Amino acid sequence: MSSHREAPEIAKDPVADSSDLYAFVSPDRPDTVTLIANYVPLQLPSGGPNFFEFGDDVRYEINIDNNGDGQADVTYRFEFTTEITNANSFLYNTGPIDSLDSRNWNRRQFYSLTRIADGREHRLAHKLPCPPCNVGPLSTPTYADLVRQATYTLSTGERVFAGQRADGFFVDLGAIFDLGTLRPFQQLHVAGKKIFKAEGDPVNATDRMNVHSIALQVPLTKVRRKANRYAVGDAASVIGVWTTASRRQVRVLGDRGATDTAAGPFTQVSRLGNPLFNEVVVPMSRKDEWNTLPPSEDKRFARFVEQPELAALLPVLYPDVFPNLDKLNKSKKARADLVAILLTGVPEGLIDGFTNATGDIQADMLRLNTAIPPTRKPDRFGVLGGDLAGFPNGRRVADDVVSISLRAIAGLTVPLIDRAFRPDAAAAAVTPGLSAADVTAPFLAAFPYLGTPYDGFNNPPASA
Amino acid sequence: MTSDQRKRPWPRLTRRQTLTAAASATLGAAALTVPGLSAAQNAPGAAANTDDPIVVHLRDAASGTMDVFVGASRIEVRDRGLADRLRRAARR
Repeated sequence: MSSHREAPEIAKDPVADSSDLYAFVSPDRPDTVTLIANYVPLQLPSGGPNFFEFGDDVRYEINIDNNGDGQADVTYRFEFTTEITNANSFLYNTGPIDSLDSRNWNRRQFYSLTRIADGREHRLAHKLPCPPCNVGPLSTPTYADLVRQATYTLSTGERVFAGQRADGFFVDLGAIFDLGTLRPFQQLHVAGKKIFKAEGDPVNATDRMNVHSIALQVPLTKVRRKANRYAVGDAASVIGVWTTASRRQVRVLGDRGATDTAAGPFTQVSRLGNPLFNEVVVPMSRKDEWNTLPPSEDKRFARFVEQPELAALLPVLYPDVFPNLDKLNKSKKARADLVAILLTGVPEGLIDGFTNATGDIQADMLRLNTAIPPTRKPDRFGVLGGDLAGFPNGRRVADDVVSISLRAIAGLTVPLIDRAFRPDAAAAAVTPGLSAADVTAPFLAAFPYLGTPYDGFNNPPASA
Repeated sequence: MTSDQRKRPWPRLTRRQTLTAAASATLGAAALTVPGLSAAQNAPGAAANTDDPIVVHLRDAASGTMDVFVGASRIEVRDRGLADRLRRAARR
C-alpha cells in the first residue's frame, strides 16, 4: 500500500498510522498549496457503533522544509478532543445529524490547529468541530453539507478540514502481496504462468473504504522561504513535505477502572513523505526505526534506494521481461535516478523545464516545485507522462503513484542519469492496471478534494 | 549526582518495549522525594503541574541512570542512591 500498515509496529496502531500524503498547488486556487495527510486506514464504512475517529492521545503534524535541510521550518499541528453528548446511550447517534452541534450526535470530536515556525507556536484555531462519520442515509442524510460546515477559513489565510473521507488511493493489494503479481501480466509471472493462461482484471482493494484526513490549504507565502522571486529554477520555489504522528513516551494503563496515565514528551511513531518509501524500499527490520526519525536522518537508508530490493525482484518474478534491468542490477551501479527522485529531488537540466531539487541532504520528502502551475488536463503518470505538476513533483489525489514508482524502479528513469541505458519495453508498460476511475467515490474539484466518504448503510452494497 | 544528558545514545527499543520497560520500573510519585537533582529536560519550556503524575524509568540500575517523565518532559537523572532505593522498593 502507499503507507497503510507499512511497518510492523504502526500496523498495530491504526489511529496513528499515516496512509497517504498529498501536496500540490491547488488547481482552483493556484496561490495556495493543498496538503492532505490521511490516517486511520482501511475503514470499513459500516464499522459501528464506535465509528472511526482521530486519537485524542496522538499529535498529528504536517511538516514543511523550505531550505533543504530535511528539518521542518513550518509545522501545522492538529490535536483532538472527544466529547460525549449523552452519557446514557450506547449509540453513535440517536437521530439524524443535520448540523455539527446536533443533539442527536453522541460522540463529537474537535481539534486545535497550531502553526509552528521560527521557533514559535501560534494557535490558529481552537475547538473546531469535525464532521461525523458517514453512517447512512437516515443518520447523515446531508453529509456534503456537514463537510461544508466543517471546512473553515481562518483569519490567517489557511483553509482547514479534519474528518472522514473516501480513500482515494487505488492499489491491487491482493495481487501485489501474493508474490508480486501484477494481474495484467500474471501469465508471465514465474509462478503465475503455471496457473494463469491469460492476463487478469485488477482489483482496487482499497475501494469503498474510508480514511480520516487532516487537510490544509495554505497560501504559498506561508510555506515558502522568503526570496525575491519564485521561478521554476529557483531553489526557494521548492518545498519538502512530510507528515508525522507522535504519542506520549509513557502510558500507564489504569487498573480496575482507573484512568490511564500519560507522561513525558511526544515521540514520533509514524512518518510519511513519498508514497511507498517505507513500504517497499526500507527493509522490514528497519521500518519501525524509520518511522521514529526525521527526514534529515535518511542518509542511513540511502543504500536501500541505491540498490532497491524490488528492482532485483522484477527480473526474477518476470523472467525474460526485464533483461536490461537485470543487467543493470548485476552491475551493482547505484540507482542515482531513484536517489534523485526520492531523496534529493530531480536536479535542473535532466528534464526540460523541471527541477525539484533541494540540495545534497538526502531526505525522503514529497518535494513540490510551487512555481509549476497546475495542469488543466492532468496526466495520471505525472512527470513520467510529461505532466510536470504531478508526482514526483508533489502528489495529486488522482496520480497513479504505484505505476509511476514501479516504472521508475523498473528502469524507466535510469536514462535521466545514464543516457546509454535502454530501459526494457516493459518498464514503460508495467502497472497493476488501476487508475482513479477505479475509485468509486469521485474526487472533488475543490478542497478537500478527496471524495465523500462511503456510508455504512450502502457499503458494502447489498448483493445484486 | 550529575546530569548526563546526551552523553549516551538512547537504547534501541521498540515503542512497545519502551512502554513495558517504563511501566515495570514505575513507582508512585508520592513515594519519591528527590531533592536537589541536577536534571535536564529534552522539552524545554514544557510546563508541568505539581499534581502531574511522575513516571520513573530506571534504565541502568548499575550506573543509577533513569528517565523521569513528567508533564511533557523527560528528565535524565543519574543517582545511584535513588536507584538503589527504587530497586529495594521494586524488590529487585
